[in-house]
Amino acid sequence: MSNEEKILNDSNEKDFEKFLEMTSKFKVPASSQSKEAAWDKLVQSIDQKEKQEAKVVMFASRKVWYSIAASLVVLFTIAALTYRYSTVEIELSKGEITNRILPDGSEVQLNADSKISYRKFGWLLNREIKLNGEAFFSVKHGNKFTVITDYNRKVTVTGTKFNVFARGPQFEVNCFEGSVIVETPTTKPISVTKGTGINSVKIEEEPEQILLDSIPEPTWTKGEFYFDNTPLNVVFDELSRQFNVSVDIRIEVEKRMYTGFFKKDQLIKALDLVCIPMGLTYQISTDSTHITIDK
Amino acid sequence: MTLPAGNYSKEELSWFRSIFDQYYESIRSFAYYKTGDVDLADDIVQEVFLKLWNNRNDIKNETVKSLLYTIASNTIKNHFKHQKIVFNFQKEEQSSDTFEEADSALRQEELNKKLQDALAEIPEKAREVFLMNRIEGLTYNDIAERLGLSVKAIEKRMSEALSIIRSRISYKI
Repeated sequence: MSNEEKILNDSNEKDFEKFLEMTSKFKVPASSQSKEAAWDKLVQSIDQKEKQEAKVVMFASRKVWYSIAASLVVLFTIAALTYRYSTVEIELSKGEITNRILPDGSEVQLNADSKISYRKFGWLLNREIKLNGEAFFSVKHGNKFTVITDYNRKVTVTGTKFNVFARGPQFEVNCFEGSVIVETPTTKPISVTKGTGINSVKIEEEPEQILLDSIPEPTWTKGEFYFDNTPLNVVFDELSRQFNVSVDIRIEVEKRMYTGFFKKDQLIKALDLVCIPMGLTYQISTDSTHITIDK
Repeated sequence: MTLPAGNYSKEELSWFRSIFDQYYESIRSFAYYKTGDVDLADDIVQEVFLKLWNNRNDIKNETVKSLLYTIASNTIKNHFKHQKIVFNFQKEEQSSDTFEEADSALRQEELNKKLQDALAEIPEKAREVFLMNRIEGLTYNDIAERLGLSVKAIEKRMSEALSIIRSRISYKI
């Protein structure tokens, strides 16, 4: 290394050291704002952001609530409509008889001037049939449901054939196959087995056990009406239902009992069968809708 | 100290303030080393701390330091176009006395300009390390921790910076 070069090198080295020393004395130029001002600005931005977020969150949650409310309204409406329109009602007027299949495949035969209702939708949850009048049920094997009549009298069944007569206070259950359980608010559950039945005329009355003739199903389903020591007014009520006529009874008949039958083919024949043995007379109006019973 | 009214706890805010107190200067300097622009550095500091705040629920205290530098690097990389850097480091007041009497004020000024330009020419990664060490007096260990690098990497960057400065002054001043 030449002297000159060495001097130059030394000078460079000197400069370099000076450079380094200078850098250590450098400061980043001051900000136009103080540190505290920078903090305040930061907090301001944060607050602005948090407010926006809060708004967004509130908006979102409100939206969610609205959706939930709307969904509930829709669901409720659907449920209410389904419930309303899924209730099947069958109502027969006088002179009519019908056969229906229930949701579980069981068969019901409905007598004149009777009404049943049940829920098609939700049948599995609510296997109940309301009955007002008279009906004969042929329940599919293994199926179970409950027939509820006026005065909260219940007939619970599993796979049987049975007839329920429920008109006002009169209540009769006849079992043709298997067994059914009858419950009323005033009595303990009564088991009614094949070939038997129970009968009560008044509500408070303890139901009376009855024995049935060995027949496979009630005779009314074939248009035959048998009466055994039955109050006359009950007989005339049935006659009125089957022939769709109004009956005007001008004598006291409630205490008089009738044993016999009539068929649902000819009104005059039926009237003869009831009136002649009881020593009564009858008059039929010209349009065959009105009957007057007298001595 | 302004108290914010948003939906967050006092603890969160006081934690945030302590981080701010601890790193405000460093991050601002770091941004300046990278950009050479004071106003930009101020903006970057705001953005970096806001981002930190937004992620406050996921942050561990051990990593907050290096996280700040990472956020700053990314912010600068993503948001600010790379411009030619012109530094304007301020000299500490007392320095003029200790400088060589022989050097005229003019020569001082010339030297200063030369140095600032030399610094601007150092590649960004080496430059920030060099300046963190020289100006803030941070140890290699500390720098490595802040930048999430090994001490070896810091040493390498330092020597890179030094060699560039050396080469700049080897031309006659």
